[in-house]
Amino acid sequence: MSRRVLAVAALAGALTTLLLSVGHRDVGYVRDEGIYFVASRAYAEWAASLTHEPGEMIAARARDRAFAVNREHPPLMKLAGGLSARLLAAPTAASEADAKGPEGPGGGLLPLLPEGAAMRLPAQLLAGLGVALLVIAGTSLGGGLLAGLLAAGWFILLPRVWFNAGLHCFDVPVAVATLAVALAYRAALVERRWALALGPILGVAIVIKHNALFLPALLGLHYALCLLRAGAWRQGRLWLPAGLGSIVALAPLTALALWPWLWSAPIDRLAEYFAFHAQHSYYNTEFLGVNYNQPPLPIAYPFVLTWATVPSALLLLALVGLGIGVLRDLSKKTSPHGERAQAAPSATKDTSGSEAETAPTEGGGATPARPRTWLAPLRPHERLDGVLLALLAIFPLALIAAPTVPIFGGTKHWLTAYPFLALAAAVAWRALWGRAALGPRWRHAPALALLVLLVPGTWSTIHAHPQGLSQYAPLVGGARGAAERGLLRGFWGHSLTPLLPALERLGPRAIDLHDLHELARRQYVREGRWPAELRPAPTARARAGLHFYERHMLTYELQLWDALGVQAPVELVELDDVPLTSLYDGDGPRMSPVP
Amino acid sequence: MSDERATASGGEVHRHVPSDISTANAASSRAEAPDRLRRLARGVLALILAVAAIEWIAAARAYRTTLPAAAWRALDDHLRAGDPGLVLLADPWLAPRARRELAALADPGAVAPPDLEGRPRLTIIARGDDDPWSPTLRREWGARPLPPARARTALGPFTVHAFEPAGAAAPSFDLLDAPGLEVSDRRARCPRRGGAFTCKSGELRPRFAEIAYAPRRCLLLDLEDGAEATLRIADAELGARLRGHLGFADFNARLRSDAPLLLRIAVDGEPLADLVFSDRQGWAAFEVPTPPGRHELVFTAIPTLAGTFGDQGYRPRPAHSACLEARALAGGGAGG
Repeated sequence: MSRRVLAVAALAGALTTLLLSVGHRDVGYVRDEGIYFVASRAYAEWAASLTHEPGEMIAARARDRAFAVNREHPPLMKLAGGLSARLLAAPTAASEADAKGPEGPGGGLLPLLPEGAAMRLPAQLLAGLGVALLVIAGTSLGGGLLAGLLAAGWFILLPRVWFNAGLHCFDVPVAVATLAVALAYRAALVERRWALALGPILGVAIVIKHNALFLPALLGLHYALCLLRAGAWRQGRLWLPAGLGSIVALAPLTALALWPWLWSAPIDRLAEYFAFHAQHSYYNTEFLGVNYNQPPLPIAYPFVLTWATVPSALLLLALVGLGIGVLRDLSKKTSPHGERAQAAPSATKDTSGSEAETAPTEGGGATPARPRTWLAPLRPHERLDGVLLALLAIFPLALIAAPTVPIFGGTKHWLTAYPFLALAAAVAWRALWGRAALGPRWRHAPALALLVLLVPGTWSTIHAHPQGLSQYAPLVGGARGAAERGLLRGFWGHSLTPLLPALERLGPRAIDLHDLHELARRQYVREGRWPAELRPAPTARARAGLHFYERHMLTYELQLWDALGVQAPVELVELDDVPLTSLYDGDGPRMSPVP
Repeated sequence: MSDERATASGGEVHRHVPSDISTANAASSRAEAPDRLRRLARGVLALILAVAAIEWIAAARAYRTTLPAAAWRALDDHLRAGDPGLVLLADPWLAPRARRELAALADPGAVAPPDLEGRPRLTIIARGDDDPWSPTLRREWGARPLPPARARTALGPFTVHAFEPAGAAAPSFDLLDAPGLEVSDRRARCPRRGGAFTCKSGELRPRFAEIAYAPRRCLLLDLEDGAEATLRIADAELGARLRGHLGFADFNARLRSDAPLLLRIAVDGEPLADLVFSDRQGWAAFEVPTPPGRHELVFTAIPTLAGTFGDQGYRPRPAHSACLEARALAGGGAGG
């Protein structure tokens, strides 16, 4: 990999993190972040205490007290967020009651950021890493830097990805971790030095979010297909190569080491963790005008939602890339020695950028090949890259589409597919431009085409910010088109920040928060962004109220109408005419009705 | 480009050497395969870039505000200047903004009408050239033929469609506003306090309720299991028909229970209808012929189970509460 590519990758990653860090100050705290903030403070308090009270902190009692909070999700991002706040957060306006312990005012060594922004930073750094990895891997698979930029832009310049990438949540981090695992696995198939690293990398992914737990099965399946295709499946020593061995042995150890909650009673606590996700409650989600809260969700749901939120040209390119990749894998020819080589030239560099040890000849045979070993079980041309991309791109959507899987609402649940769709687009990019052979007069066409392809997603992302969760692709008609078609308006009660000045003007008032989580509200309080005189109250006792629009939430808006005696909001958050959030004031001026 | 000429030339050579057809065919297919792939690649690239170009245009149309504040003000002025009757939105998702901007929607009766019957004047606000009778409004209107528009006024991005449905007259009686309404359960009469009837077995209160994901203003029957509520109006001014709806609030309760409700309607002691409603029917309409004039009208509502059975046994909350509305209308009808 050239220095130029690495430099561009680093620059793109850094720029991504910087823009997320600055831009997401405008993004309201989503309801899940509220509990993650609390957990982050608890975990970081424990980690910080390790340095001066190691014996006491390592004991089960202190450990469990800290890590019991939000134990249904692995700790890594929360721990990283908490430590980031201890380093970079400005002191908060914590109440007297919270002055001691993890909920205290805090304040980092370099107090540069509001606490929430500091806690979001690790996820934003991972998003930057994801962009950098996509530039590198896309360049490698796509045969040039433009393909790398396409892959990175395909991923990060989508409104939903951008929105989730800046949150103190796990969805984009686990997508990036999945990408890292896949790239490490691909390298480990041919290079011994990656074999040992693969397990720990997967272990890290597992303690980001449970999506990574599916990877061993997917990678195992892919490896079996590679062995079959290479005609090496009879060689028993290759059945469990070092890379997969590392997954089996080191990934669980790494995950266990990074998850102190599991240190006591690991079996029972793991069982509790799996049971939580296997029996996850059903969300309400609107799809084509119907509210779903009972199984099964339509099988088409994740596929239609993907089409509705990702520009179609990018999706087409990715699908073409998946097709080309799989066809190319299927067309690899057998060498004279019963081994298989590529029929068509393809990437002969692995992700680390080192040259492959063997390369197929034009005639379909192979140059003298190094022997397959337990440490490096395949030759570079034997890796079925197309199949790997297809497996990792299709599985997350297929999983959500399965009728027995609990209803999860948002596109965030299959974001792990997107890096691989992005890389598939890079594969298509190389194949199409290579085959098109347009000649020297068209030498600037790819750069221009890249611009043409990435503008709709970028436009969509910038225009929707900070309400990216409510944005839809251009061909759907954006938020307005989605509202007309009965697609989910938003969720998580985050579309609030434009209303903060109006909340300030309300004065002393009891307010119904609706879907704004109380812990998210407390984060605004800690950062001095929530008016002190505005106290939360149940609907019946409220004199003002927030309402976040979702189809099934209407009942709460009507309760507010009854409680406040008004039906007209005083302020609205909208995206392209589509109401996302209303603020009601029961004591505000009334509109005079038509005489 | 030079590759293309060479291929074409090669193809021509094969056509002119018929003496060695098999050799020529083999060479031809070797030459045509890359050419076919080249054309395919160019075609796919062109297709993808064309889609992207269309997305630019679509983005320019989609990613902007089309309903500025000035347009809403002009619309409000227009509606204030006339007698719009019931004002409806072709696009229900615009309702929060419309309620904020339009005085015509300040009336609680206008934001959650039971249906479109008994409305001598209707005004539908649509965007641009959109059909005012959107699928939602067609459902509300029912099976009757759509009325012709009396007037159509373009106001910036809005178009105001005015209708005067033939033969529609305002209801002569509305259960929600009936001053002489008396409620009792099996145990006692239910006193009225602040608009609500408080019974030994629960409460009846006019309120807004989410039924089938639409707002409705109706009399919510929040009653114990097996209770029987009697709603009596001693001298209701009836028309040719009594039309009403019953539905169950809300989405959460509907998820946990599907128990039905029995409703009996009697006029002057004579039973007119015995009806059973379940939440699968949504906002279920009923209509019975009535003798016009002043009569005693009695509704008897018997909810069955309002709660739900779960792993911790029976739980009465969240309650699966029925919501009722009824109006006396003149002739016509047959709405949905």
